[in-house]
Amino acid sequence: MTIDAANLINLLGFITGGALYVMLLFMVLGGRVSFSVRNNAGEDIFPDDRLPLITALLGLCWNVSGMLVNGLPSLAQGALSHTSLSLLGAAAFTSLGYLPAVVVHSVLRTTDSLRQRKGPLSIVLIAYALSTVACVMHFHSAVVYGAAPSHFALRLLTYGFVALIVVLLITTRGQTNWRAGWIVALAGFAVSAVHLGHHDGKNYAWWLELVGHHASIALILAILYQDYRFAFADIFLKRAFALLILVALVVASYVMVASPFLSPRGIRDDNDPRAIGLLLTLWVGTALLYPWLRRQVDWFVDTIVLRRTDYGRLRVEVVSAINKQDEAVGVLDAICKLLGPALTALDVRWVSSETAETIGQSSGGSKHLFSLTNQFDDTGQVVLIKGARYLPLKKSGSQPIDKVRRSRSSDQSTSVFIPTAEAPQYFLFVAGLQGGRRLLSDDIAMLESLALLAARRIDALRVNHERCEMTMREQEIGKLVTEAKLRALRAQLNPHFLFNALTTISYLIQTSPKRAQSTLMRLTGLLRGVLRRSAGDFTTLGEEIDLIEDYLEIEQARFEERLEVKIEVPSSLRDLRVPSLILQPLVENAVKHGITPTKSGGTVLVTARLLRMSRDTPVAEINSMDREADSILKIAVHDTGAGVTERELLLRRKQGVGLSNIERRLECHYGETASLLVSSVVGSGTISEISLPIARAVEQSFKDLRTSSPDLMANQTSSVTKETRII
Amino acid sequence: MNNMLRVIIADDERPARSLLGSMLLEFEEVSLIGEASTGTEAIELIERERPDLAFLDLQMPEIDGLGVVRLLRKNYMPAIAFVTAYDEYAVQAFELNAVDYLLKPIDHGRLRRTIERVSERLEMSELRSVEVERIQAAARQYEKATQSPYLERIPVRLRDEIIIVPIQQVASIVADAELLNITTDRNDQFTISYRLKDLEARLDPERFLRLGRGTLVNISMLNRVIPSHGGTYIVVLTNNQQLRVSRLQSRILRDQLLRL
Repeated sequence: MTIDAANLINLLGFITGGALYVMLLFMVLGGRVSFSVRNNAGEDIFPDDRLPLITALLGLCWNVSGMLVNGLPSLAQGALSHTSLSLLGAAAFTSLGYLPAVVVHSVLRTTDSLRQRKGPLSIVLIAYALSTVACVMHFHSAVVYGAAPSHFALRLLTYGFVALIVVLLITTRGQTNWRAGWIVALAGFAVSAVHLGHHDGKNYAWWLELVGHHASIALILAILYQDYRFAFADIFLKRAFALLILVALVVASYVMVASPFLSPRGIRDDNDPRAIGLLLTLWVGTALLYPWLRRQVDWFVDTIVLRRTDYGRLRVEVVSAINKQDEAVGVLDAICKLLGPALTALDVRWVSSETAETIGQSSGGSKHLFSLTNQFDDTGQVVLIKGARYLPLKKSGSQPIDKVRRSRSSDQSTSVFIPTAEAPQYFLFVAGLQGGRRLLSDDIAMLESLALLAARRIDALRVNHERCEMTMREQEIGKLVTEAKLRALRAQLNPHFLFNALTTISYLIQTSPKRAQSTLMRLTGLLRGVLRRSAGDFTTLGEEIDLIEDYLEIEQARFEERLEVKIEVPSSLRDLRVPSLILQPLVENAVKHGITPTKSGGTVLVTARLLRMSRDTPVAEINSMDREADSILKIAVHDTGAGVTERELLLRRKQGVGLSNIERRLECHYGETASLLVSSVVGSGTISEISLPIARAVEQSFKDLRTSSPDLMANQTSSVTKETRII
Repeated sequence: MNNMLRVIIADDERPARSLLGSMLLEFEEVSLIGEASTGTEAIELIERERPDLAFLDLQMPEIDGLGVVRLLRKNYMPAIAFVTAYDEYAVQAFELNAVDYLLKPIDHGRLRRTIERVSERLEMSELRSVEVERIQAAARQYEKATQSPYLERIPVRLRDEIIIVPIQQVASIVADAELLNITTDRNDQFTISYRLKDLEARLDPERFLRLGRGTLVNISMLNRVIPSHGGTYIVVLTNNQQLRVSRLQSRILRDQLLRL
């Protein structure tokens, strides 16, 4: 058998066509597995997905059997009997005959609701009918005449589909332009059919063979370019281009360099060292050039043919976008927004690691990625499946399912771990890639680098946020302390109180100078005590009690028998650490609202007790405490005065700066473990009670501080001195 | 001793009373005829002794200094000097209305000026009602500025007695010219001299409802609502008192109270 140009082209064409259809088959099968979507009734929601599969099978069938029958006739004739050969030919031409019908179906399917519209449906039916008739005729011809293609059938197909193309052009006009590609492919079929219709065994020019026999290649190229652009480009186009250019380069270098160099010198001998050297040089040069060539081709395919985003620029965009965000969620959203178009993915979102923990662990917590097959369960929720692990995704931000589905996405989906230093951590999830795109190594590298960028940004934000929060907390405490100090200053130096005290003292000067002197000393002690409180926000319970004793003594001088004071605080509790000036407002309230409004007056009782935490402690009290605290300090101010109504109490608590200041300070220092309770009964008095958790450790350290700090030594020393004196 | 200035002191703090008393001793023309430790006592004392000048502490149990002035019968009204330790709002209100006041601890010179001024006024026999008007204006201004809490009790006069009516016993308050008629749940009737608008401002709006221009009613006393002509209502209280509701208030009543 001689291999001439036409034969070679034929053979190459069939091989190429076959390879391309195999590729399509894999694409379609891959896509089908992950997107087998069933609704509640168990029907396949997108049964039409079979069309690409059928296309692939038909194309494959044509190319394989066509290769056997037409491409390698001598080989096939040797291996097969004449009858089976003609049957094979009939099968080949049948597949070819059905292809245009399927393509017509595909074209019209996308003009939606085929079932409702009679026009397109009848066109499809006519197309299938034509193909079926042709199929019958081919087999008839094969069985009866032993010659595979029935020329009449081919002619029928040609005229039939030319007519259908005209109809199609009319029906689909004004629609998206890509359908033109399909129609062109159909026209190719027509040409092919025309050619085959006149095929009579003669050898034609190679281009005629190419156009005639291999119009299906145009079709498959069109399909692949439309639906599986990325895979096609990546797997086929880059290599094909590179190979073509390489061949061109070799031929060119041979023609331009080697031939002119060798011929004039008449070097005909193959063993001439110069010739070998030259060829070797050319070969090495080409080999060295090849990687560069591949890169250029890759670049050309990526940017010109696929218009893929330049990742360098994307990175810059992402950096500028996330730097504008000041919350983790914003950062992630910004990345998702930019990644979507860049990867031509319909579904890019982020998942918090709280839900994705299991998967995070499965990947060793590293930044490794893992491909996940995504499926949709019948509630419509997207579920990632890896092995037996289910990962329900956040529903918010997810695409409506049918939208995801409508794109013929491949099975590619991936998630990238965002390695933030602290929890919660996140995953970027990419799915719904369009155009048969797969995530290639450079995509994944890009995703990982973006994840790292995001992690760094989120970490920075978190640190910032924490610092900010801490400063704010400190400021808040500072403000409240200042407020309390001012209030206390205002309360003890409360003009009303102060002037009344002075009035009392000036009365006492006349009647009982000694009492006047002691009251004046009390007032002095009070003022000193309040001014000393500016040292810090904490003091000891003892100092607080001393302060309110001074206060109550002065009020007693003023109200005389109307005010009775009882202070029952065990001396063992005097060293406990309490926020400063936290009792005084309560005592002041007791006098102001309890004693002053009644003629007969009443008693102000201040008590403090420490509830040690033990197994005997009532459950209710344990619950109200911090677990780390060993005991709880309860300080109560009780008056037997006027009392107020619930409503009045509420109003006072809302408006009164004193109570709300205490509450806020307690919350700032102790969180929810401390409380202030106020209850009142009209006519019988009011009780205000503060509960504070006392941690033994803190208690201890505060004592240490007191003994080590020279400022605070004075108090301690004096009590020691007293003791020695007593001894 | 007809020229003597007859003076009383009302203050709940004995030391303060004593101090003022001892200071007054130094004025030859002044005779201290009594002391009171509450507002009620002060009213009793003033109406019994009919002094020329009363030093009233602003802050006293039961009835405060301003309440005393409000409850005093007009023709018994002496010259008033309020005494307070420190009260910005009161001082402001007094100054604006030319009401005399003293600050604790009381300055001797200042006390002298007060006494001299009162003596002058007595000689000129200035109209008492003008002073009463000034004091009441100051009281209104003061109560407005301090946003004093809702009243829990209303002190009222019944002949020579002062009765303190808890607010929950008040069934209705009906304006009658310058006076307000207060009806209790036991159908006792009292009259006070107060503006309805001012009193309403000091009553809990969740407790009292306006029925018209001149009527306030205790919501918890509402018993029946009878539709009347033109979409208005007549309400019947638990003490069987019947009150007509104005057209506007009928609508509010319908929208707020008569709906589940």
